[in-house]
Amino acid sequence: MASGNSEEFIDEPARALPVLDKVDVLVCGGGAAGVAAAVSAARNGARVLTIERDTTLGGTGPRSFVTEYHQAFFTGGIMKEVIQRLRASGGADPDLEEGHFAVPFDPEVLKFVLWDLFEESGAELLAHTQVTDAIVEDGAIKGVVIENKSGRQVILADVVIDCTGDADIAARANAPMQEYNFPQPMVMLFQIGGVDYAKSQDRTGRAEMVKAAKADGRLAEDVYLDNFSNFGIAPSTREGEMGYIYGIRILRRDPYDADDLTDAEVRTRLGVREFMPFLRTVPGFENAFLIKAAPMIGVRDSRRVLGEYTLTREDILGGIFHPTDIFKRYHRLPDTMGFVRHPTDGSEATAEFRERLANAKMVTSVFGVPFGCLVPQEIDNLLVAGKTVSMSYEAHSRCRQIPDCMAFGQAAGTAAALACREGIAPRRVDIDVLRDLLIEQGQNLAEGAIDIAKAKVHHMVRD
Amino acid sequence: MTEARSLQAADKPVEITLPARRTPVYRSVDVLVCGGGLAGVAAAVAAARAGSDTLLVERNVVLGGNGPLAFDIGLTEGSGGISAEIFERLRASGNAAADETAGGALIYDPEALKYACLDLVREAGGHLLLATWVSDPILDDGAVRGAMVENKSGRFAVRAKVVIDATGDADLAVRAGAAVREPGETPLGINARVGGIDFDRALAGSAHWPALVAEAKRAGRLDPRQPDTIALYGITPLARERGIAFVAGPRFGGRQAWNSRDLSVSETEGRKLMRAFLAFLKTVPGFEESFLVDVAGTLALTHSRHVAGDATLADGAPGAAVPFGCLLPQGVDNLLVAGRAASFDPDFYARSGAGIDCAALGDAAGRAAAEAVRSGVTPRDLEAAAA
Ligand SMILES: Cc1cc2nc3c(=O)[nH]c(=O)nc-3n(C[C@H](O)[C@H](O)[C@H](O)COP(=O)(O)OP(=O)(O)OC[C@H]3O[C@@H](n4cnc5c(N)ncnc54)[C@H](O)[C@@H]3O)c2cc1C
Repeated sequence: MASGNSEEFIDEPARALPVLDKVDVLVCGGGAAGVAAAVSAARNGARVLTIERDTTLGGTGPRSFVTEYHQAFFTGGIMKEVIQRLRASGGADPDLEEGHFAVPFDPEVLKFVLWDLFEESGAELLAHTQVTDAIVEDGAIKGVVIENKSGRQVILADVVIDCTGDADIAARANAPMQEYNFPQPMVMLFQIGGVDYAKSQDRTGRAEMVKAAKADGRLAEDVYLDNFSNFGIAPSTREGEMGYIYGIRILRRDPYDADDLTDAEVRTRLGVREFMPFLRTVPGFENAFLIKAAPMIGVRDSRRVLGEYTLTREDILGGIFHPTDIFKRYHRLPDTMGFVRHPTDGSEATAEFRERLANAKMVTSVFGVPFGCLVPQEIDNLLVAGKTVSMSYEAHSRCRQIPDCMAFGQAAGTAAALACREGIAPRRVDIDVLRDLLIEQGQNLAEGAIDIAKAKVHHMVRD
Repeated sequence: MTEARSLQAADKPVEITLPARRTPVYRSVDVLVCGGGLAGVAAAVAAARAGSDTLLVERNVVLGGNGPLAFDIGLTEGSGGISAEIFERLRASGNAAADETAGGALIYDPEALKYACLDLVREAGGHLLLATWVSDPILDDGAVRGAMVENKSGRFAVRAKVVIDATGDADLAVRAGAAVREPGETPLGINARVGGIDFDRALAGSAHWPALVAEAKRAGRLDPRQPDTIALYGITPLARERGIAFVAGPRFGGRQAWNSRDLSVSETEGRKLMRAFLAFLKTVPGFEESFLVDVAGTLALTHSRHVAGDATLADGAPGAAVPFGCLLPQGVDNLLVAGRAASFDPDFYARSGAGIDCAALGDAAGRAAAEAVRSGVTPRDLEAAAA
């Protein structure tokens, strides 16, 4: 924390902590990646415990109101199961065509669906619990330190999977990290009711209204984008006349600095309150009311580990496959060489940026993500899944969607279970056995599993 | 695998020793307030207003605590001070209204309470550290001199002249070795917010709800742990306009609010039962079009363990003055306990917990802390001086 006085220390003596449990696979963080990791490790025979600081599973998707899967239809395995269950239980449109770019979902239904999958797999959950430290011996992780209402305790595990979204465990274990200097804007979405969907579809003049409100001081906080949109609308969201509004963000906040996070949460929440009277001047939102700001600010990127393999923009745009791929990804985005869609300085709203983006060539590709992206260098018995796997800055901005995170999680969980079964370090798992298992369990690695002809083009790229 | 599992369980060590470490100091302040519920907010506001350099540490990212997060939204009219100010702000902004289902008792909009708390702390000049877990106290010869905190930045020390434990469960006091009273159980429950309710039709049939629920239980359509009726609450004029109100789900007995396993299990069981109850609700007249807005972000609990203080409130009318000694845990110095974990007799609290004005306790703790800092004495010395 930047304001900390680094000169001053308190010496804490050596200390014995109670060991709460010892498991085969310990999953830290119950977000998109964490759920997939736990479910697949449990299904493959491991005794699995997941630790989540919050009360529910799902992470950024349901808690930051990122209510839309992007490029999900071609991702197989657990992601596919989740979508099927969502569609069967009123959480996503059952009539949506295969191959569609976006699958909007209802965050509350998603939490139910994820819990069902999780519970059925036999994995266990310890919620209300924060993982605070890693226990490393002779270059291998042995377990973690946790904090919760029952106190400070230790959990031991044969394999630990870091799904914290910030590589917390890898960082505490002093695993080498990618260079990371440019946090992308954090976003505060908020849930509203009272939306008139018949009227709100017409977006003409909205950007001008935002501009005018900024000019005359009605939107005075420095957190507003130049327009707003209603993010990922599932049928149930629409029927409830609810919406999740995207239009508030904050720049240059470090996601693993507690002072920055505090400031980001506070300022964007104040921005939400200030936005509401303005929102009610926009056609279709005259009767809108605030239900709640997201329970957690949306963090696009964070520190990422340096793995045995680092995925790059060239891998993605060049449609490269590797013998060790753990899933295949369909990709269609403009080639923004040297810049990302959500730059750190917020310039995505400028005319200049728009022009660059408009002039960029659209690239369609299918590429593979190798297992080495999940395996941190130097530290054994640790795997990483989710948005913090080993990717370059540009690769990350193209391959960090929720479906990607679930695919990473599934591979990590399966590899962890294999490692436990064989009694070896996860980095030594037989990759062919792992890939065969992943294919058997629905991942899209088989020849012809991705039929590009089915891809529905979607030009509105919001993330 | 099962075999391997039991082998492993057998070789699980009881303890692991972490090596000695040097923990950097994040900040040195006058008053450290642990927990940002109503008690913690009021404590931080009172201390900051009285001129103390005050830091409020909260594990969540919003203030207001369990009430707004759990949809436990009954509003006790403040007896004065900051408690009354919170009340006044909610009323003035149209966010407090009478609930038809609770005989006209006042309820508040959960989001509005979070904002009111944030505003008050900011206006008072209190510092905030969110998404941060308070870990161990820094102890010096029986006196608390700060606390270790854990967050995305790591483990840090906060030094403080006086510390206020407003965690609701006396977390810091317990770790500092204070004497506590633990009730055998503290019921944990789950609530949800539901939209699309046709209130006129629904309420017209409310006399039949217990029978409908009983019938569904008999027929196996509802789990026996479900509530005995449709516990609908939060019906205000605005709620009627929007068709949105709250439903109380099951309450689990035999559990303890300071036990993480109990919390975790109740959270998942509660949500699952709530989902089933909401499906049942759609078969009840007036609720056919109902939909889930959200399940509460955390469990509802009114009651937890308590410190044994210099004084203990064992009886008294709700709103009665609480002796200062109730905030002073025995066996520890320089620590005040504000909120539901203050020194009440657990039986008394179980009876009248909802009537305890946590913000008033926080207010008193914050003022006392600032006074102790100013006079260079411990909070306990203040009491002695006043006696
Ligand atoms: C504004 C925004 C828009 C986006 N748009 C889209 C989109 O349209 N479509 C799409 O598919 N993706 C989108 N994304 C990306 C996607 O949401 C994330 O990359 C993805 O959800 C990350 O998943 P994860 O599992 O890595 O992390 P998370 O889902 O964040 O999970 C991390 C979990 O770990 C828990 N945790 C963290 N630290 C600890 C700890 N120390 N101890 C215990 N628990 C801990 C957290 O509480 C959380 O539950 C968007 C992201 C943002 C921010």
